[in-house]
Amino acid sequence: MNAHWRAPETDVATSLAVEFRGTGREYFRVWIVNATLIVLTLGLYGPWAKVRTRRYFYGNTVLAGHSFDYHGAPLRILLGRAIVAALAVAGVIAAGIGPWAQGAWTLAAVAAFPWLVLQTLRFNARNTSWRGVRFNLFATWREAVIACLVWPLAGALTLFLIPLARRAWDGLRIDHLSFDGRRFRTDYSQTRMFAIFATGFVLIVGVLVVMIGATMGVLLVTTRMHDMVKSFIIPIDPSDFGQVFTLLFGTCAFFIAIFVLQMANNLTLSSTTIEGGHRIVSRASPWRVAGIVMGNVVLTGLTLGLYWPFAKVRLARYRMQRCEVIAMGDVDDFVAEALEMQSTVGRELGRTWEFGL
Amino acid sequence: MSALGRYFAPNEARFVPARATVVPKRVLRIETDDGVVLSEGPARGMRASPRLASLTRRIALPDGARFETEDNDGVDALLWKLWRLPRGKLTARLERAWPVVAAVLVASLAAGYLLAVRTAPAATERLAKVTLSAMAHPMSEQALLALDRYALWPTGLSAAEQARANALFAQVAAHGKGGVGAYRLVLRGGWRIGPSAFALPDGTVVVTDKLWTQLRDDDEAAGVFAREISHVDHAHQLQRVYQVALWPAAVATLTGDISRMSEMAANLPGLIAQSPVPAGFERQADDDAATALRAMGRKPSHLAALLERLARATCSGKFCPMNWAGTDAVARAARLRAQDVGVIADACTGGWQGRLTLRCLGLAR
Repeated sequence: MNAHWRAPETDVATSLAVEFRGTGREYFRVWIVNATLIVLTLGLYGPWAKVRTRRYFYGNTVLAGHSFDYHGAPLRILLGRAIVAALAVAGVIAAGIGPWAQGAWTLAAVAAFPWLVLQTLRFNARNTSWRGVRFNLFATWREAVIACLVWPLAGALTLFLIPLARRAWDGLRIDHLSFDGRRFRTDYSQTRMFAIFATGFVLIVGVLVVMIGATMGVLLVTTRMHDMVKSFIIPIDPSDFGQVFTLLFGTCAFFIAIFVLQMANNLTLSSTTIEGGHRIVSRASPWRVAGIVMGNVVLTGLTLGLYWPFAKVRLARYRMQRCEVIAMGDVDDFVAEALEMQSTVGRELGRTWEFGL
Repeated sequence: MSALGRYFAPNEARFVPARATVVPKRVLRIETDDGVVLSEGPARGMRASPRLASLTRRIALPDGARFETEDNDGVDALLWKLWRLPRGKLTARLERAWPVVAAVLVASLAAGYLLAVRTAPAATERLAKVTLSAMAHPMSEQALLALDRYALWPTGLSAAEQARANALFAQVAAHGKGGVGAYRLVLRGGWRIGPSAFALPDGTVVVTDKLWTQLRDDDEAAGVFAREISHVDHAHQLQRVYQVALWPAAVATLTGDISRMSEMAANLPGLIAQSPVPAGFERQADDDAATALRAMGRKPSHLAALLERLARATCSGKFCPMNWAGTDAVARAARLRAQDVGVIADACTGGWQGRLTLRCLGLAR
């Protein structure tokens, strides 16, 4: 992995700001057209809608004055979805045939899952460009199996291995990514990732303890009040107590999950370098991101989904404005070199089976 | 017509401010403000990115160079002049007319809702009513055989009790749409099915011993029979089968494919034993039963009392397991009581879907 890694070429560092120029109002129009066409075509327009959405978000993400671009072909995404649908239909048929067929299908589906993930990651990378230079992803099915099946399974079974599963996932999507020839690499201390997930675990347990304590306290106080003043009525029906508890705990857990994931994202991104010495920095506040997401969920619910496009733009804008790229040396030269390499090597041929989801 | 933008030479990261125009013979020319031609060539091999909101448009030229501009209208005009269809123009128009698009979306969702909530049930009702009696009988026989094997046993009622039940049933059947000969009463002991009664598509009404012994008078028994006869008249069981498999049912009805019908009939015992009767069917049966009871000089409130009693016996707090009284039994009982004098109570009760009718909203009588 990264056998051709090169040392930084120059010590002159320049900070390149990342910004998101899209607006909720503008994206709302794109979104409403997408939603309408998806409904009218009974879902068939989905791939086209996906491409338009990605183009909008990539096209409005600007680094050093130049926007990203997305070139995915909707028909390729349709092909990917048809493959998944065929797999699902095969599952139904296999279930009707018998247990052995169902077992064979399960094995095939398990093997296909990392392949599908890899194909999607590769498709997205190859169809993303900045200043005319395309990204690429060079990972193998075996590496995808390890990142998408082995580590997640180990993480789910043991819980304390989740940070390692995250490391494997970062390795798959970042360490194999290239900016046409220039490889990306993310390198962070496992201890820090463990510390992030441990923080999340402590927060969840803390919230649980506080909530159980508060619940018992409320029950105790209200029961005593009821004993003292018979006319006092316990404000919550005891049969609804479990639901209220689950709702409150679920909300807190969701908030903590976003908080932890943003901390992990910050660590991953801020530990990512691009061959040539360029480095990414993400300083998005996990509290702020969690707050924005919670606010977005509430407003989207209150507006029956109409706030969704504004929510998406709001989150993207905050995350992007807290990102920057520390470039070592002249970026124009870097891009020119990548363009040269791109035209020399040429785009990889034989992409008949390339597809996205 | 021209578009101002930036020209990137092949493999070049730096750009030159430039202007794109179309010159005669459908040739795209890119030149600087000073008139220096940077690139010139036919449209063949050229690729322009589709229009989307106010995103920068990119024209990739065959030699690897590219031209970028924010002038969307300018690019579209250039493409027309080059006899190339600008992609994304239709969606751009739709985006501009977004209130209309939003209205279409709302209308489509409403149409989809109506299709699912109104049209599909109407289709199943129509299908159920046109189902040949030749199909209904084998379906019913098959369902009863399956229930006898797994959930019912022969009745333990005395011959006198059975005779009383049959006599009363005949009186009620006379008020059914099919008349006396169209229905038959089958009494069964319950094994896995408790106090219950259900109707089969061919007019068979099954009543379990456990229900019969809980009936306090003939008015209640007549109410039970009248409700089940209403289920037969409206082909409710067939509708439930067809709701599970609407398209196969439509094909089978059109082709008269009895073998396929019998495949679908396999769902019937499961539906009877495990799935609650839809609230709409229950209310329809209540109304018909009330009409029949009044015609016989009996009071629907007796049936209401039975519904309440069964609901009380089986429900624990908010949890109400499936029973013959059906869903929302207490509210339905109140509605039945009001029908003692032939007045149909306000039907605008239950879930929000039930209230969303023109009558409940006060827009129609």
